[in-house]
Amino acid sequence: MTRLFACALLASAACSHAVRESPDRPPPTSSAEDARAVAAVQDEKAVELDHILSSLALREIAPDCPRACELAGQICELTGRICLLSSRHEGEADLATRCTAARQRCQRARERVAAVCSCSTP
Amino acid sequence: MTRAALLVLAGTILACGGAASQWVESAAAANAQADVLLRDGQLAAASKLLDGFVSRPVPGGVAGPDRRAVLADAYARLAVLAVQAHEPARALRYANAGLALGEPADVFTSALYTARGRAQEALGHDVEAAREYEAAQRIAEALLEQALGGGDR
Repeated sequence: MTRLFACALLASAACSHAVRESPDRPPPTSSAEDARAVAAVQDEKAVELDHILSSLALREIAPDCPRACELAGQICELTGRICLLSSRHEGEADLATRCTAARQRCQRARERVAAVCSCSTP
Repeated sequence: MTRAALLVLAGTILACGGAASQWVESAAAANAQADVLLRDGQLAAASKLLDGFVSRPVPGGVAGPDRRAVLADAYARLAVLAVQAHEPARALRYANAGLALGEPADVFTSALYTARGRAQEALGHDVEAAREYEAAQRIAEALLEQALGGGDR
């Protein structure tokens, strides 16, 4: 979805650029001038697209670390509850399986968060 | 976290004005008053206050998802208070009422599953409790992916 949005935005940027340049620029008078004008327009467009891509990339990867840390904490706290229940019923396969799966979720959450955020209490 | 989500929601609704904003204001007032009562150790009074809020009719102008979020938050809080008051059956009823409003993968649903787990645990239903905690954990996992930028925001 983000990719589609990015493409649409780039297309729209390109369109708006084309619309903007046509009334302001007089038609080139020679082939050299023509080439220079095309190069200038391309440079301008490249800078513009660079800005758009950078802002999209930033928006896409910027994590909400405080929230992520809190959620990882919640996931691991729930693991503690599940495994405590399991420990009260030794030999209960269903609870033991849930405890193992919960531990894996906690571990996964910690690793996911640690890769991009530094939580005070991971 | 449910508080933060609710504050964002309240800000949006309050900006629109009217009966909907009055209802959100009354929810905020009930929660604030419950906080004060709980600080004084008046658990029953806080519960009665929040129960009064969820029992009142919701004005027609409140959008469905907003209505659900505000009420789900109140039900989750009521369920936790009931567990603390050693009334797990009542806690279960509150959590069920909150989940009956809808179960999107959000902080409110996660809180309601956790509260239902605590109620089941207090009732001695350990396997059911583990299932509820697991459901809450799965939602928290999905929310974590969103927070890290891996899901649709």
